[in-house]
Amino acid sequence: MVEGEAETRLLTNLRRGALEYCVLALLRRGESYGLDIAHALSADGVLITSEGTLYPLLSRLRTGGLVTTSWQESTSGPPRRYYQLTEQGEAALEAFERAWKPFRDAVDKTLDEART
Amino acid sequence: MNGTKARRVAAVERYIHDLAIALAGMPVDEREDVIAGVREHIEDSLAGIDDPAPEDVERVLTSLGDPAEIAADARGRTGSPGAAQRPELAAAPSTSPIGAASKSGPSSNAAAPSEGAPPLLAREWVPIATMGMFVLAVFATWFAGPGSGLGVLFWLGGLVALVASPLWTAAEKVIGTLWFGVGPIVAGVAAVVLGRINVPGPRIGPAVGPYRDYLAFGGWGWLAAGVFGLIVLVGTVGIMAWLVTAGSKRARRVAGG
Repeated sequence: MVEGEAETRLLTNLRRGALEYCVLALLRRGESYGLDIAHALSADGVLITSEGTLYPLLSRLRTGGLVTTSWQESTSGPPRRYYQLTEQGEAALEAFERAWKPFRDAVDKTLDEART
Repeated sequence: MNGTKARRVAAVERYIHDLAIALAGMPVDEREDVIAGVREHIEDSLAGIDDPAPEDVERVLTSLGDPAEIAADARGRTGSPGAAQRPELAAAPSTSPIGAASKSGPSSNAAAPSEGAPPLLAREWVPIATMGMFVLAVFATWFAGPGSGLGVLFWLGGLVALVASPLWTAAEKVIGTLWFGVGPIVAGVAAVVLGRINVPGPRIGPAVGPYRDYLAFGGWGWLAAGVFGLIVLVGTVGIMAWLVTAGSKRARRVAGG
């Protein structure tokens, strides 16, 4: 779990372009609330290491119109804010997917070829 | 049981407060959104636990991460070239009705910070300058006389900075305001009243310039005033050191994040 300083910075940079689309992708399965999204993203310790960094991201997605929010009663505590994917968010996610797959393949291919 | 609850609330409030400071300089609506989200995250995490222990709170706060790190991450997103690639995100805060409405809100009046820089009253020199104004207020009143208004000016300046700066918690502000704001008024009224009483005893009091009229009481009065003055001095130095230490620590965190 202990990461080097350089590795931490590297991960921060890699996450920067992709993390918001991971949030959008999670919401594709259905609406969700902050803690649930945070746990899903931090489970493997790669996408998010500090769960708090999710909230500036969610705020920007909301002001950008990619998600909307609604309050719903919770069985275990105070009402929760649920996030839903908007049509605009769905379109942004599809655009990301179109760009991401060739990008990922190109990086993998380059890394593999350089090794042999 | 109540003690643990109070400690739990205090730990959470300290975290939220540190987060609010670290996020200073962000658009107000985004900052409030983030704080509300984090607060809900904490409440949600603890709601499943029956009477959470301090360690449970600690664990939740640790998994959220250092407030400075959250702020640095959020700032990196706004300030990075990535923001330009996402015009729909970059343009949204300034054009949204929420953003426009909260521009005139009370929380945006501290300063108009440039992107990334801490607001004026969260800078590192603020704690020392604030306490310095109280010290200057005493010297100005002593040398220029209470009638000049110079001391009152420094005094009010210090109080405004103390109350308006985000570097101090509500509890620190209350204690600081009571000591430096209400204290001098009480002391001033007491001096005038005592001056009228003229306590009997040998008259060994020195001449004190413009205060002759107020501090005309006798020798025992001077002894009482000396003891009182010593308590005030020790208390003042202690509270000043405490507020400077606490404020500077948070200011460094803001600058570092």
